[in-house]
Amino acid sequence: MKRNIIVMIVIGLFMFVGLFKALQFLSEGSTIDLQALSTANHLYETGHYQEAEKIYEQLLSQGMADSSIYYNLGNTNFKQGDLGRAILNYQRASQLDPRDADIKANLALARSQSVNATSIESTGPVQSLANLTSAWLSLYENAFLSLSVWFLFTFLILAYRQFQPGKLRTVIQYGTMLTVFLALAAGFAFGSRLYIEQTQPGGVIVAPVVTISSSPGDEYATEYSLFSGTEVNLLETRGNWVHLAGPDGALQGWIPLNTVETIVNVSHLEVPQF
Amino acid sequence: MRKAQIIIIAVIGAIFLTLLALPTNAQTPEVVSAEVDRTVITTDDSLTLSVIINWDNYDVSEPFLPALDGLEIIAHTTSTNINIVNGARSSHKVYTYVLRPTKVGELVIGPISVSENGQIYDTDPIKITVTQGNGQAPAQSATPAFPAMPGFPSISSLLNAFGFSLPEELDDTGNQLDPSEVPSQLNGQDIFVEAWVDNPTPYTGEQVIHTLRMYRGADLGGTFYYKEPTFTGFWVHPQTEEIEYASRAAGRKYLMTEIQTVLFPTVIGGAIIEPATLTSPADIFSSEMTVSTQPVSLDIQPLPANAPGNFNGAVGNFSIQAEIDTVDSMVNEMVTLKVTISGEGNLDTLADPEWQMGPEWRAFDSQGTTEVQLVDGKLMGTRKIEQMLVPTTAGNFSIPSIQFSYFDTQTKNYQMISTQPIDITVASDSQAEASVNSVVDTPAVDAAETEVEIQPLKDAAGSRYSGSTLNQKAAYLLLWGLPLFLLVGQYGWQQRRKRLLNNPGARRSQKAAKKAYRALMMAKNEPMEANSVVGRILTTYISEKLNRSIAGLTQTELSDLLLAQGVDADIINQVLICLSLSEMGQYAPTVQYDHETNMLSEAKGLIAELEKEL
Repeated sequence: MKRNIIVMIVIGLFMFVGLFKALQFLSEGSTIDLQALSTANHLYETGHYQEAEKIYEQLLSQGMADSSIYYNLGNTNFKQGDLGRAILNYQRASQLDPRDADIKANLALARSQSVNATSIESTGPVQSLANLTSAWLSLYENAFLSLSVWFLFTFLILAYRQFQPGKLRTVIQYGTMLTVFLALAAGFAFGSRLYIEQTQPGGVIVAPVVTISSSPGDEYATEYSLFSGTEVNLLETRGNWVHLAGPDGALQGWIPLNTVETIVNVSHLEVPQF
Repeated sequence: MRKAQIIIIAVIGAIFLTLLALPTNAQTPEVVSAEVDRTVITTDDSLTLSVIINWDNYDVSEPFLPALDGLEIIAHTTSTNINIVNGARSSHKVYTYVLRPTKVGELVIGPISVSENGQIYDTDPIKITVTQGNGQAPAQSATPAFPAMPGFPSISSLLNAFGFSLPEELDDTGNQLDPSEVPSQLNGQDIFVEAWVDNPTPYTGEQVIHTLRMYRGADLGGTFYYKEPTFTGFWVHPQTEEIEYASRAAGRKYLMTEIQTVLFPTVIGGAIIEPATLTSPADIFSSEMTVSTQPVSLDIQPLPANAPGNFNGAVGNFSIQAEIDTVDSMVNEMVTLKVTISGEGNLDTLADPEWQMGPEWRAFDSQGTTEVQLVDGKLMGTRKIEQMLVPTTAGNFSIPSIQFSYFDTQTKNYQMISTQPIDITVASDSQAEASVNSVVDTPAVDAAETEVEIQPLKDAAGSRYSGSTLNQKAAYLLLWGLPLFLLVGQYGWQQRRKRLLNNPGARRSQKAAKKAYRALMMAKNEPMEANSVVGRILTTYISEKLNRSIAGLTQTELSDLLLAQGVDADIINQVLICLSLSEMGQYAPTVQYDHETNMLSEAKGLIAELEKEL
């Protein structure tokens, strides 16, 4: 019994310390240049928004994808009256830090100033789950959580199989059952977000106004228009056109590629991205 | 419990399969597009059709044009456009066709196809409206039917110079080649190809234009195969100029193609451009025919030795300019310094000049853009470098002169050029604020925006972990599989343990060595009795290992038994000797202490050897 407990402690340490270290290693990025950030913030505070914007964009182009930089860039866009890019960058900041109150507040403010003033509606159970999760967890946290629950689940299975019948094993049995539900919930939440991000990623209209066409081509223009800051789902690209679903989930159509940018990085769409 | 295990395994499998089934990323870049310079023309006009192929992938075929109902091709050129922005190169090959309408009405240029690795890509159809013209001269097309080329005479110059009149059958799709340019070997044959360079004795790094001219009899049909020359010892600029035209030479009408390639020698001494070949198709009247150019020899000169210290290999003719967007700045206000190098030469491979800003500046990484194009057979363009500078202290400063050296191929000397120093006044923060308050033209902020309260900036790093990048890493996906390996490992270990529990003989056999080592360790504490103990330990070990008693066996029987188990004869001999010595020692306990210790060590070694064999 004592031997089994020691064995399971060693296996648990190996699994969870290894998991933490592996994720820490996989997530390492370039260090943020705080001095440059401070310079850009000073430029912003003295009203030199264009110059500040250039520095924030340069920091981002150097691989410093940080929620604070996206947020500050969003503020710079907002101050210059570019609601489309402001919403886009607040959304990008929110993807990295969804629980930040400042980001939520400024995103709500920018949306309130946008002509269409709507966020993406849920159009099915998968998107509902993805939207619900994204309000609380970043995709990284989701990935970390689902993998951790998976590790916990398998650890409990290992422990269950290691111990002889008794009180401890009964406790482990109930713990395993509970973890099954947790693993399913975390797995489906993570899977749904990946699925939505890859198949119909969110985008934001960055052109002042764009007319929706029923097919790729100016000659198929309809009477419907979308304004800067409208949040849409992008479905596919064809040539210089992108197929999108409008904010209410029902309106679908085509717009020129250069009028929209994606919130997350999706390589199969030839849309400007971060 | 077995049922519960099945459910758990099914759940694990479902989660794993869900993750595996996530969509993969497939890139669908635009490979080909087509455009015309106008969609409404008269029968007197011509229009230019441009087929643009993304040339980043060299596997893309030439465009296949559909049947052009109501349009005829009167000229065709090819060019390559290259842009380099911040080190990222993008290139397009543009096939330009000059088309002339032959009938009135709504015409359609059908989809134009290219193939890439077996995949066909089409352009969208283009609609053209053709109205009746008044029979006057055609309007100027965006692209001339016969682009001007150095060394090649235009139709009008030929007419003026030699007084020739265009043969009727050539119309405006052919002219008479300058007799001095007609190679003597042409002699009216069906196909011919010639090549030359504009400068056979260039300096290393100096631009050389290689021209290849192919002649095909205008009356010949079929597909001609062209094999380009090899340019060993040269950096080949990917932008080429290709022109097709009809001309009369050596008493015959030819369809001619000229390809100009820009080369930069990278070696010193003799270099040879290997021949290009042109092959005509076989038909019922003639067999396949191949002609090739003569090898083109060059004698490449080294650059003189007295190069300036900051010379970075630029060869050609350049100028340099620097400017800043404002000469009145303030502390922490960004200033953009723009340095432009323009001219003729190897701009593509040019290293940027270096300059140092004083400690009063915070300098960000510079970003460069190169744009080059072939103009009159010369590669010309600009390299623009932008650097963002932020002054950290107030005062009057000067952005230093930026120096740039190159080897001038005209004067055959190194030239040092430099920008003028730029004076700039930097005001302090307080001065700036006073200035801002007193001057009306502050940066534009919408009045409506100032009324709303947006949350302030963040000055510390926030959350930076991107799940999108995490789940695209193979190591992350492998982590999902790690617990499965542990489960499989535990299952295997438990099965093995169960097998041993159900088989006492196997368990004894597995633990025999461990037990023997423990006994040998204990024997060390009583060295005087080691002699007798070693034999017993060895006998017990072999008995347990083989799962049978060996007590009472003769040495021969024991030897045969071990041989049958595949044990090496030498080891068997050592075992027998050890047993004999132990037996002898048991009855003659006068052997020294050291000998006893050696026997224990030998027995330990023998057990280790037997463990490998059994």
